[in-house]
Amino acid sequence: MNRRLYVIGLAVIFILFWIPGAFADNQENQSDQGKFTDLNGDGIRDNAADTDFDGIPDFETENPNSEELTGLISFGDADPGSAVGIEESNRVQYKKRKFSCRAHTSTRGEFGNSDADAGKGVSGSVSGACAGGLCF
Amino acid sequence: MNKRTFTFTVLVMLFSSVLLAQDSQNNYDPLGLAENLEFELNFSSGYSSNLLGDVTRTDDRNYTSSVSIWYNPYPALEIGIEDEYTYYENTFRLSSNLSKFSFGFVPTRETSPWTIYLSGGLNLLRYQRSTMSFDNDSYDMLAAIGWQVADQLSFRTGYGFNANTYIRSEVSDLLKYSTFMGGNWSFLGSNTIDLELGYSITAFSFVPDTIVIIDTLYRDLTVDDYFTDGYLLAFYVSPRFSRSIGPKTGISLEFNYQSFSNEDHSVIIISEFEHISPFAGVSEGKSIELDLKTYQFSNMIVTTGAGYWYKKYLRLLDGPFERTRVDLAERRVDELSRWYLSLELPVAIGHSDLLKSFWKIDYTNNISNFDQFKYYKWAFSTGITYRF
Repeated sequence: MNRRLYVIGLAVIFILFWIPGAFADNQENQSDQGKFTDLNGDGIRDNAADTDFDGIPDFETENPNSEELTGLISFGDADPGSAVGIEESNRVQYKKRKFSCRAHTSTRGEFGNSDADAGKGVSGSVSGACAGGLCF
Repeated sequence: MNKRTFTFTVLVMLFSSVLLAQDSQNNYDPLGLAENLEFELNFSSGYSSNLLGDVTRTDDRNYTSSVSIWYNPYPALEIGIEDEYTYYENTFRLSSNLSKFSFGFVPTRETSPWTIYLSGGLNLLRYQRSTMSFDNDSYDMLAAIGWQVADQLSFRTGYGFNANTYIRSEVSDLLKYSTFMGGNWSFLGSNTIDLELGYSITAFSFVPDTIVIIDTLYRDLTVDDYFTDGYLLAFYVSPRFSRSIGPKTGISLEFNYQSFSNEDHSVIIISEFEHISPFAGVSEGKSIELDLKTYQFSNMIVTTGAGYWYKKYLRLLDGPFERTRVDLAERRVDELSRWYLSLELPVAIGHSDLLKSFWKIDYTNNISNFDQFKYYKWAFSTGITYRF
């Protein structure tokens, strides 16, 4: 079973790498949408803006957060006149800051102990939905 | 719902109402509360054909409602409070109330190459009177740093802490320290490889297999007297490959391998808490998951995926314990396959409000060397969320 699993996995990787036309499409888009990054692992360009925070990117608009990184490390509020803008509420600014940390906030070490982390799991740790401390 | 929970829920709703009234009636907001507060109301329901994931095939429906409030006094800080009540139709004893308090702190701006993230939370879970022995408090904390080395290359590392305390028993208390590090590299157009490594130390209670027999007959002993404290060491490695298929669709393939290094002589008592022991679900093993996400359909997020998990649990022992051979405890080994499909329909209302509904279907098949854990199940859930 395990050997078959690995063979299937490798075959899938091979197919994913060579889906025809995928490289060309994305290289064309790079010039006007910045370089491709995918820190949250969904396979979709992170740089697209989501101005209404509905979870659906505005694919035609570049994320203002993807502007050039500045300095070594930047603290404090947004600069006046920057893409972030001083008129945005604390709430909006926080969401953008948290988005910049999206790779830190979803670690993958839960394989063996998601129940333990939840502290209340009853059934198998791999489950579709959880309600009231019970994953079903 | 007990008196304290009811009072807490009422206070949260009153607090929300007052704040909203100030803004909508007077349009006067000297503290910037309105624009820096966010509320979320949620109602969802679900059905599982095998709620407990065992041969009892207990099917049930559940209904969950929750109210959440987030407040940002500064752009770097978020404070959250949430109350969630879940009602199980047939298995009423599992109905519960969960209160959450949390914070997030991101001192670095979004344009900073170095990013810092701190978060913490307190969860208070309370069951019904008949199952109140499961009541527990859990705490968690995460501190993480990221470094964007180049446009398509970044690294991250972090430290986490989790504690879980059963307030009416100490047998299943849990304390876990973990650390992780990872790297993310995008290359050749839209291909991304992400590699993460982690290590954890978990303090836990177990029965050592040097004890041959638990004997509570004719003696002034309980099962708890046989427990001892120890540490469970675990590491994991998880490579992930993801890429886009066109601008609105992405796929990812994730492997995960986790191994314990010192579990050989520990035995977990699963019936002590009717399988709710937090260690009953702790396992090592490997997994592979393939997921697809697409925004191809108008205003809809479609996610589907399938996965396979090979899981070796800690050695488990079931009661009754009048005279029980500890050295006969076996390791539960499962092969679990799962498929799911999820649809989300978010609708932005005005500048900042959001109405989101979702539907999810999930199928799980589990093969186990323990007959009681051979099962399959279907699960459906749907819900609606209003954020304003």
